Amino acid sequence: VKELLDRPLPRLVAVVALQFLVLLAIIGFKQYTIATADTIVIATDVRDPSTIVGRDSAPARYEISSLDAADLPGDDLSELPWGGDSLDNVYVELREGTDGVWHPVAVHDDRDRMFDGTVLIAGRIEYASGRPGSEQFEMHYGIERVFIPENAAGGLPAGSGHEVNVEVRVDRFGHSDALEFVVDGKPFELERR
Amino acid sequence: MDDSSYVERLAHDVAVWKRDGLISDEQERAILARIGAGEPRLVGALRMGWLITAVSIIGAIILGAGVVLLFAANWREMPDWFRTVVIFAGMAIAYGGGYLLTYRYGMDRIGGSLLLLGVLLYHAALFLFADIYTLPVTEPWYMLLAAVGTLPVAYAFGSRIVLLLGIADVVTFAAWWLLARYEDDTEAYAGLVAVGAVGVMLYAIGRLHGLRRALEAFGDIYVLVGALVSLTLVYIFSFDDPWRGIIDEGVESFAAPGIVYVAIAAAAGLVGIQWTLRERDAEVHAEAAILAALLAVAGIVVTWPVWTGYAIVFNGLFFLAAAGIVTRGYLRGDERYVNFGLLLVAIGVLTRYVDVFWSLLATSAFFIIGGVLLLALAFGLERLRRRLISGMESGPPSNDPQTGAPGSDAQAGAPALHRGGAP
Repeated sequence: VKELLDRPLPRLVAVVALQFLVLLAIIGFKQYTIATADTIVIATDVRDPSTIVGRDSAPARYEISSLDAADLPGDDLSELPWGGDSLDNVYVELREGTDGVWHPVAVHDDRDRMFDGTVLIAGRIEYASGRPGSEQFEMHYGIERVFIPENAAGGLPAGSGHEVNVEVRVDRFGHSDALEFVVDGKPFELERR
Repeated sequence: MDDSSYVERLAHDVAVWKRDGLISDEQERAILARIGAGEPRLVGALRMGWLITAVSIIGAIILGAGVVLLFAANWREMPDWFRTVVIFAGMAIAYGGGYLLTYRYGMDRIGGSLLLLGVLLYHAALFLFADIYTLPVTEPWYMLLAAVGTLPVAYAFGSRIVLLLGIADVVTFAAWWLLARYEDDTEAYAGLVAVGAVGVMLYAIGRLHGLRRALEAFGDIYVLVGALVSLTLVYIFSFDDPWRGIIDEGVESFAAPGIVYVAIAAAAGLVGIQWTLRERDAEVHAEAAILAALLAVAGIVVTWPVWTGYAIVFNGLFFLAAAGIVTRGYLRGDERYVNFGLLLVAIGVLTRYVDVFWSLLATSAFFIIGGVLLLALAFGLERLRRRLISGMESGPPSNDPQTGAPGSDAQAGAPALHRGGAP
């Protein structure tokens, strides 16, 4: 090996292979993260499914897009902003309800959970209002710009009063990826803008 | 150092010696003729090597920045697989081009710059991959991965600038990880002390490199970065504010995280090893004593942090280190150390002046008195510098000609005095 590495080309190949391996390890790490991710369903505030059809439809708003600290059974808000500030890397703890939909139970500024059997979804506080102890947060998760493509909207129920949810994959870092719409329990194709 | 780079460096040094009046025109021509470069055009070509190196390194950095900006502007429009392939292909082209230019066409300066470009693209690739595959981008571990990929390139191809990049990765990782891990105000100071210990480790690793002739040139880089990191931390702790903050936060004794003690112990171990293995003379003893004192103070500070007097202790350490660097330069006949040490003295004096008098004097008086004091300080330092240098020119009191002059000059049998630049 020493003789081989005394020549410049094998030396170059060895060090470049090491760098490529490190980069490939990042891809492998991501695949591992995907394989071990949780799939959950979160609720939107959409009641008329036709408003989310087509690329030009409005961004989705979720139940967890607006949080009221006073409504959460647990919280860890000591480091969170209020009074108009924003903050990256906030984690909303979700717990599955009896309806199969995951609802918020706490907000954290780190990845420490407060309850068992919960999932953390990472987001950003766009705007905080209220007073300490009863803050309201406007949240952004990066899964808002989704819609049902027009060619997949066949069979979509018309009118209002429907339950529109989104199936989301959440990895152990809290990163989320929207997978499909679930309208009245029936799956529909989802696309991202 | 191979023959061609030695000849180029000597041609450059001879020009500096002549400009500084150390040698005459005849002596310059004689030296150049001795190395086979008597023709003026050949001398010019030899001296141009430094320019080519500088231009090609700057070119590599600009090209790397341009590629990153190009990606950033069009990143979202490209599919994931294409972005991945583009990154790998860019690195392969840079490394392949560097190899061909260096080993097929003998253009090692430009080839070396393409190797640097490959390493820069690798750095960018780490963060771009994290972005493509939606991993957390702001994590210190990427800097460790950057070092893992960069340091082998530096050692495999003897590149000092790539080594500097790799060491910078290590220091950035250590500082980022420690400060993120201990961001709580009551522990942040301990994280800073650990970063200072990393600086001492690098310094000692540099001295260990000096034990092997093939690694001597790398040793200087480690020593320089290690000294800068350690001195920066000593400088930060020479202010009152951190210590007042520690008292206000109610930090308790024996509360520092264990990793800080591990860092201090590792640094002490490396200092001890290099002290044991190096040929021991007064200078090596003094250097080891200063490093040991620094680590001892670090250990005391993290164990019993509540004392406002530490600012005075760190001021003392800062000026002691500056005096040590000046003395080292004087003993070795190396003007770079003298200049660097005097620069530290000036920074220390200026800082204390601002620190003490900013709130005590009216703004106009502050600047007038400060200006006069600075001019007086500059006058005093210049006189001191001239006296030291004239002492060095009349023969530095070095008792060992091998250690009394840096390697390249000892090889050349040329004057041991360096002028300008950083150590």
